[in-house]
Amino acid sequence: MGRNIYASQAVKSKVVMLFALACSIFISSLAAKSYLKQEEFLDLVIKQQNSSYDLSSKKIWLKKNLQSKLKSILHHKYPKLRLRYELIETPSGRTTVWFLDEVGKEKAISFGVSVKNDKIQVLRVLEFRESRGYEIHIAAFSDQFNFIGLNQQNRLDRTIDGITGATLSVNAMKKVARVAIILHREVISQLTTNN
Amino acid sequence: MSPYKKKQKEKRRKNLFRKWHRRIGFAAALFLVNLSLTGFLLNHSEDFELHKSYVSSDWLIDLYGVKAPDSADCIKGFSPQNPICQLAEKIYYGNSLLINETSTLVGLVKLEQLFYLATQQKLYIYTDTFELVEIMDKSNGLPGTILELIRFDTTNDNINNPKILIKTENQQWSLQPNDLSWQLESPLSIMPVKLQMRKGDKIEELQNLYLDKQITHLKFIQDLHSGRIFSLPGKLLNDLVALIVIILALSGFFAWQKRKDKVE
Repeated sequence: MGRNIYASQAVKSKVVMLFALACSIFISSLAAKSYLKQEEFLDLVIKQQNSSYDLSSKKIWLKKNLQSKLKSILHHKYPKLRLRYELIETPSGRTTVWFLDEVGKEKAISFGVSVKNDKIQVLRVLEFRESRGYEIHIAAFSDQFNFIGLNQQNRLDRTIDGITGATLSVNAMKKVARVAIILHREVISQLTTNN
Repeated sequence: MSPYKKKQKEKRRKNLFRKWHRRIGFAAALFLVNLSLTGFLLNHSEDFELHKSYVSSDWLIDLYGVKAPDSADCIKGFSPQNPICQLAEKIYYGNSLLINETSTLVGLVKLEQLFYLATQQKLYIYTDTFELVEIMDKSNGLPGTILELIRFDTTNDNINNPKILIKTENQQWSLQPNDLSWQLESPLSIMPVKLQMRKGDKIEELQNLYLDKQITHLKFIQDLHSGRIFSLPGKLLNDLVALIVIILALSGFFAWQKRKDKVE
């Protein structure tokens, strides 16, 4: 009988723990998660510059031609007509830093992306608002995008390993990477033309 | 009891068992068809984009107990044909939904072909046809909660220099057009008149628009799948059906097992 009491207590405590774990998972999945602020992401990119740099805030209008390129990637127009970006000029070249939003399943995910020489330098999740798929914020996953570029079909030139249960979030991140490179190319082209 | 009577009793018991197994099966069939259909739809909800389409049936919306707010706040003096009004968390431009925005609508200003629409937490910039240009919030430099939005005209050397001014809790800021940064301004000695808000009239259309965007088809099918559409009784009934299906499966298995043993 003594053994039965201990056994039932052990079972009870396991049930309570499982219940608490389930609650914590549920509760944590409800709120939007903010991982990085825009200033923090910009600092992260600046720290990677190994030389003196010149930082300026710029704007680019998403004209018809550019919107159609973005639409072919996103399968919808980018919802704004103008985007702000940071331009970092160093002796070794120009880096653009973008803050872009893209819907995963139902809500927008905010990303910070830096691009140099048509390749992603850093891509990070800034804010995640869905209830599932938040694993994409983990650096080990987003580091896959480091130095990734586009092939001739404007698709990523390397395979990205997905995450089970986060397919839509991963897809959103891939689209943002492609969009950022397209935008970078457009900016560099405009700057080169103006010079 | 004679062997014949035993056999008859056994036969009656089996018939009763099979009869109830059949009756319960029929009763559960309707729920099973519902579960299967809704389950199929939920499995392919992204393909059907069920989260993007909405229930428009009045009786279904009533079933959910959703009600539109009784009043709307509109920007006074702006385009009577296409007023800008906020109804709960939705802001409309005429009969079109402009934005989903939970914070309170503060005001609207036009400056150099662009409209600046302020809520307490964001400043939306639109073209004159209300295409979204940009959104400014705390993540890209908005200095605080917007309490007032003003167009302020200053004159320097006979050149009119209009500015967008916002008033936060204790400070006033002007928007610098070149880099969209905010500059702290000293308090104005004379406050220009800002656009007033008014209570919207003829809001039935807005209320209908509001209700038409409340319940997605995805939510409806999820509730139908789980029984939640009929609140607690629906959920409990679904639980009961789940139990019945388990019993059916087990009873069916035992019946099969017994027949198999008999044959062997």
